[in-house]
Amino acid sequence: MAYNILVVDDSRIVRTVVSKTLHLTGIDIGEIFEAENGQEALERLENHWIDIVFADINMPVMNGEEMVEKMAQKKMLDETPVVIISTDRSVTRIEKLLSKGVRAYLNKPFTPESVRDVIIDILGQS
Amino acid sequence: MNNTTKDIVRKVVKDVLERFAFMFVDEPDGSEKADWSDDILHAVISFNGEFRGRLSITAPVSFCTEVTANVLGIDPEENAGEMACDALRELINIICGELVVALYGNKPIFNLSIPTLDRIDSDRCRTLSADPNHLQFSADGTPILVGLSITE
Repeated sequence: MAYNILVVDDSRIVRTVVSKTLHLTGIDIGEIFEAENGQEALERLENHWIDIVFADINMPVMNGEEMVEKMAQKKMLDETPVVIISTDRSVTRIEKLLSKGVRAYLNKPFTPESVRDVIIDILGQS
Repeated sequence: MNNTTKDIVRKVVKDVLERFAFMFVDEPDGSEKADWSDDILHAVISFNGEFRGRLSITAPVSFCTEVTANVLGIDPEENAGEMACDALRELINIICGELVVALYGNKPIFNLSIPTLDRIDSDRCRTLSADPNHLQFSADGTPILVGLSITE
């Protein structure tokens, strides 16, 4: 089964890098959806089946933390796991996000191996 | 910027540019005059937490295009110019994230602003390069300036 993935980042270059990286993981990737902020991400989630979300924290309009809170309110986090990809290395912040339901945290810059390991850990090998 | 802070900035900038953009970075000695004749971008990001500060990167568009090409693994001629501004914003975002941890440890939370970007002229570049809060680097032969100011 191919996984549908949502990449949420205000940076086009990061969205492109994540998409390219996903194709290098060796995992069967279905459709890759993109969103520039948390608000757009919620809209994509309403309209498409998404297996896993990779999201930045620091974004305009709605940041990644607010997006996770909204998803938790809508009880979407069990069905759609969220992985944060960020430059923020504060362990306090990471613990806070994990306590809100985020499943994993990757620091930028990341490697295809780290992305693959996170997907397999959360969803299993497709 | 004191000498300890300068050393931390040097290490972080070199490390991030090598890992993120696969670029070799060194510091020109004082005798070399940087050529700022190219089209120049000036990115700024603020951090706010136990300390507040402002980080800037000043670089020619050609540098940003090269970063884009290296990150995406494409030829610089191949659409890399379209994402040059984006590449500089992301670069300063990563450097700032690494820098606050290198300066203050990984316990405190710092909120980073959305990076802003302006075009500046060569006179402004020369003024910045003379500022003691700015460090000059050469990334694959292209001059860049990194500035840091911190307030308690």
